[in-house]
Amino acid sequence: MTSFNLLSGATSAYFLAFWLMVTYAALHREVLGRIGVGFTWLGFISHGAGIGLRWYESYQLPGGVGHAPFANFYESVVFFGWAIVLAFLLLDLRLRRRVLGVFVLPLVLVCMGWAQLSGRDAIEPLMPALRSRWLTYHVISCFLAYGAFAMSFCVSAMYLLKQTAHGDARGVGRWRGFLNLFPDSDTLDDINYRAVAVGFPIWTVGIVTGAAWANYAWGRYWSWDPKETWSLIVWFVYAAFLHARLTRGWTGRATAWLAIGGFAATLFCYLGVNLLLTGLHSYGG
Amino acid sequence: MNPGRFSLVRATLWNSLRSLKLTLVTLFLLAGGSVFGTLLPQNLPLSEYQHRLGPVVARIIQFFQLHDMYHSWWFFGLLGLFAANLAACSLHRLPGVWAQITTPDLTPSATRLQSRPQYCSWQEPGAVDGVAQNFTHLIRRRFADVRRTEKDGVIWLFAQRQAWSRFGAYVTHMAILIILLGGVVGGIWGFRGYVTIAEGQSVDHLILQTAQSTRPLGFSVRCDQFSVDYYPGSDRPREFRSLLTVLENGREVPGQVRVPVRVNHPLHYRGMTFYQSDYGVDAYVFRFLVTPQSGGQPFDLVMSSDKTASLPDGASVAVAGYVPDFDGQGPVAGLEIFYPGGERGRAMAFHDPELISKDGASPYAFRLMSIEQRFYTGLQVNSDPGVPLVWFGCLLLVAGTLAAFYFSHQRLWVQLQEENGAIHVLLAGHAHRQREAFAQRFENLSRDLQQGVSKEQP
Ligand code: HEM
Repeated sequence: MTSFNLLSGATSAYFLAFWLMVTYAALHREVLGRIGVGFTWLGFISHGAGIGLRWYESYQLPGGVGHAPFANFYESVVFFGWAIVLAFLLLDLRLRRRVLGVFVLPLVLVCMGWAQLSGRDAIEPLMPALRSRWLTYHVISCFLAYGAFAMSFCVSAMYLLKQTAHGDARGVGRWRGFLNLFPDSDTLDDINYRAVAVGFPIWTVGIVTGAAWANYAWGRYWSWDPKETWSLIVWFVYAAFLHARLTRGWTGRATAWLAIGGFAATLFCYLGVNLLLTGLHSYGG
Repeated sequence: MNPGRFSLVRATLWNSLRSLKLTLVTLFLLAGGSVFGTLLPQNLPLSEYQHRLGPVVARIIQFFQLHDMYHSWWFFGLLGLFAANLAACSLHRLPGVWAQITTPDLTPSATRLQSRPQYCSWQEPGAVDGVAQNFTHLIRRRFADVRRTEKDGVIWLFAQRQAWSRFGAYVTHMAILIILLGGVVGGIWGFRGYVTIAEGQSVDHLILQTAQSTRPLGFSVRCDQFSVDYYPGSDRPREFRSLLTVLENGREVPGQVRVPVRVNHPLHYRGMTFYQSDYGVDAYVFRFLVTPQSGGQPFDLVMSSDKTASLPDGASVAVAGYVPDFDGQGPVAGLEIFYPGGERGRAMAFHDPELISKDGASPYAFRLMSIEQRFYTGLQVNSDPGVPLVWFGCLLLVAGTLAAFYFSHQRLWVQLQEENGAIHVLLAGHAHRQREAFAQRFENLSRDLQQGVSKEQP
């Protein structure tokens, strides 16, 4: 059993889980949703074991290339997927609304599919600047926050769908059954806030550990490199979200759109910067 | 301006400075401005922008300093406004929150209690004092310490948990101000420079990055060795390592001798930090075996490619060129010989003894024995007295955000009042975060209070 097998197994499990949830959404049979979540758990465990095994495998290779599996694009997108599933399952433990999976699992499948297509699954030795334990802390906190922000994005999308359908009488008829599976609007709105409230301090830790690492490696805790700048933009957007919500009382559509904007900034911070801009962090691509 | 007008203007200014609207606007402007800075390549020479984007755009770029946006007047202005807004708003709010925590309303009216998000009421038999005591006991065990107040025969109990989490927001705000302050301190009193040291050499000054001037270190640093370590069987570098020795007045400083400095592992000395950042080949070191043509003992000659070396008869020699492989005959060095009389000569030095030139033109025969690279190491040298402030701020930032969002200030009130031989109980609660979890807790507590009183009696 190699980490690659485990990760492929996880992808298959997510794929199955996704179609089970879609069927559940179409037929409203609770048991299908439950099996779907079961497969998601299965995938999650296999996924986590795959990441752990890859970590171990890297230390078995000759030449001291061992390192935490967060060093190239393949590894990072695999971990991104894992963080999203983690956030989803934690949320599901409290909420038990399987229909969320219809929105979350496609994100995960894109991550896993992209990882496999990238064809860069070989374990690569680290360049000297990456050989730091700050890398591990930094990446873990950033990705846990990504997971929380992804949840906020998904429930915001659901909220807006639900609101739009409510305003549109023809639409409701066709979609009523599906929309009825959604948690009610207030709950969606509340989860949106809570996902951001959980993610924001973790994101703060991510930025701080990144700054600490930059200070060790380059002697500057902040150099306005595009990735740093975008991580700050994300932080600003979610800070604005929290203030708008907590102290100015914005709710509903306004905060849902803010959360979607925040997640767009997050995705750009994660992918866009590497694909479109250049800077110190470009090795991640 | 008359005093009334003046204070009105002042109040208006203060109110806008502390307003949350201003916060949202500055946050979005800062975010938008930062986006722009990541799209327009930064720190190119102005002529480059002119060439690429035309003179009008270049003029705009120059005026708004968009080529170095994060250090432009308007970006600093926005940061300053943001900081002022943050400070004003926190100063305005903090006293109220402080009062709410330290001097809570211990005797709220029944209507006030009913307006709390969590509320219930019931009748309890028995004497009011005994009930109060039992309630106190139970709340203390389940929730938090209780403060009891009695007025006109009515008893109030009050308890609160995690009140400190209310300060999380203010700690966060202060942390941001401290980090900005750290940045300012570093900008004013810090410096950033660069040294290159060849192996075996030392330097006592650094080249400043911004001004292109030099600055004495106050001590000197010697590079004893530089090496690149590769991953086995590949050409990927694994580690760059300089062995550095600090010298004070020419003497080695104990504990600072041959200190390994690697990427991610800098050297700290007297408020300065040396980071491994660059390296290169300083010179090649050649070793020759020299045989005088006139007969005599062969001898070793070690010389570097950038120096001349003397020969016993007063001539000197320098390496003019070097080829790693000459026509399949192995490495060769071309030498230039300077005779005391002023003439010059040439010689070739092969490694292969068969090829040693024996022509009479040169009084020596040279055989190339070995070639080694001598490296120089490039070190970034920083002094930033703001860094401790920044780290302190970061610590507060993490602690503050965690306190603000992962904890919740929960309050509980009980009002006990004797009415027609029974005791009328009002129970109310409020949480400023995680309302759902608190609602659950409140429900459990109220159930236990209603049932538990009789059970708990001995
Ligand atoms: C990016 C910068 C900022 C961050 C990360 C930040 C962070 C926070 C956090 C974590 C909270 C706690 C949430 C709460 O208790 O409501 C908070 C609350 C608050 N913030 Fe900020 N803040 C920032 C900027 C500002 C600014 C510039 C102002 C100035 C007007 C401001 C005004 C407030 C107010 C009024 C509260 C509510 C305080 C309370 O509940 O007692 N914030 N902020």
